[in-house]
Amino acid sequence: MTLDLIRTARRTNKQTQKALSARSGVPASSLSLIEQGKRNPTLQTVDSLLRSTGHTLVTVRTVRESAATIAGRIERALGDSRPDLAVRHFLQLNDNLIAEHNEVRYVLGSSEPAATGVKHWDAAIAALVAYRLAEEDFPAPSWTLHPDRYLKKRWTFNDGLYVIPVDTVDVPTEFLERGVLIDAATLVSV
Amino acid sequence: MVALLKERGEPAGIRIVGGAAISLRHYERGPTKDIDASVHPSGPALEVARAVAYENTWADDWFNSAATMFVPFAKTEWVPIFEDGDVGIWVASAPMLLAMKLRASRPGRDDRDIGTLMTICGVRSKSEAEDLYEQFYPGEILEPKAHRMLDVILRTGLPDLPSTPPPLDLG
Repeated sequence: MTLDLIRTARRTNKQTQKALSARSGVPASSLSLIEQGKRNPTLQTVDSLLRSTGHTLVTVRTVRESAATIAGRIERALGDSRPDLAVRHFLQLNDNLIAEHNEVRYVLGSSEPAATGVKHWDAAIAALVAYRLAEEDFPAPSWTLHPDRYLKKRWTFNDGLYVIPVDTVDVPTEFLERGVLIDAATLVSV
Repeated sequence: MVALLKERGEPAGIRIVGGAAISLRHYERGPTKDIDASVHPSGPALEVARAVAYENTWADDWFNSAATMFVPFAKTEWVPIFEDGDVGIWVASAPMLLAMKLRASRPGRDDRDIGTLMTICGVRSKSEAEDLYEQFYPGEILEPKAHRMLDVILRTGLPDLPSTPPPLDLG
């Protein structure tokens, strides 16, 4: 969890480990170990590192993972050439957002996830957060509106094995405008 | 959960469907955060499930019965994965899971499972898929969304037979 928090905060702030180390005073070797999950930092170190990325710790009453954390899982699944796992994680984020309401749902989606390295997944994550927050009449978080979260060429949601055509009338607006073709039925949580 | 049920002397029959059933008995498909299952008697078991959630800092609904409404009405097939007298756990068979997945046919979500379950069940054509479906849901026909999915799956090709997960060790 700590490694996700710090790594995501650093990357969304577009900082290298070296730059964050210099700003926070935490040695680069320690930071590297912390981000790899090989060292447990003190809360003071976590706070210092996050502040040096322009972030602060807040707590929210849920045990469900946020969009930022799950985007990290999606990135690792893609790095392991497991798009099927990326789909599982994406659907887990969908379920997490559905399960929570009001400010808790908003907080789960509000922190900007680091880029996954695959544009269509970045667009899909943004679309999902915007879609589920709109259900509760929340505005889309600003990170979901960044041009990098919109595809120039449409992508049909798939897990790398089969690509099932989707009719655009069945695609929620937040996905369609970002170029991600996913059937609304795929997002129904059972 | 099994350990806690046994410790409390609570009998329970747990029947698991969905992704957890696939992962536990049929093939590896990544981590599953929740379990869709029916349990009888339900009261004490659900209380134990809540205690397990608290102990592990999991969400309360990690053990839920949301998907059991889609269990076939005409025929069910359950495979035992754990039985010790008081507590028994069964998972849906591969053919039953295939029928349930065909009924859902959510693009991008069910297609890989349908293809893999077709391989496991030896279902090689659309007509064989329809025959299997009708065994579990007699009087119903496959919806157009299932046909669209089967067309792509059969045109692209079925996956190789996956390896079976090792038996569950619940002590």
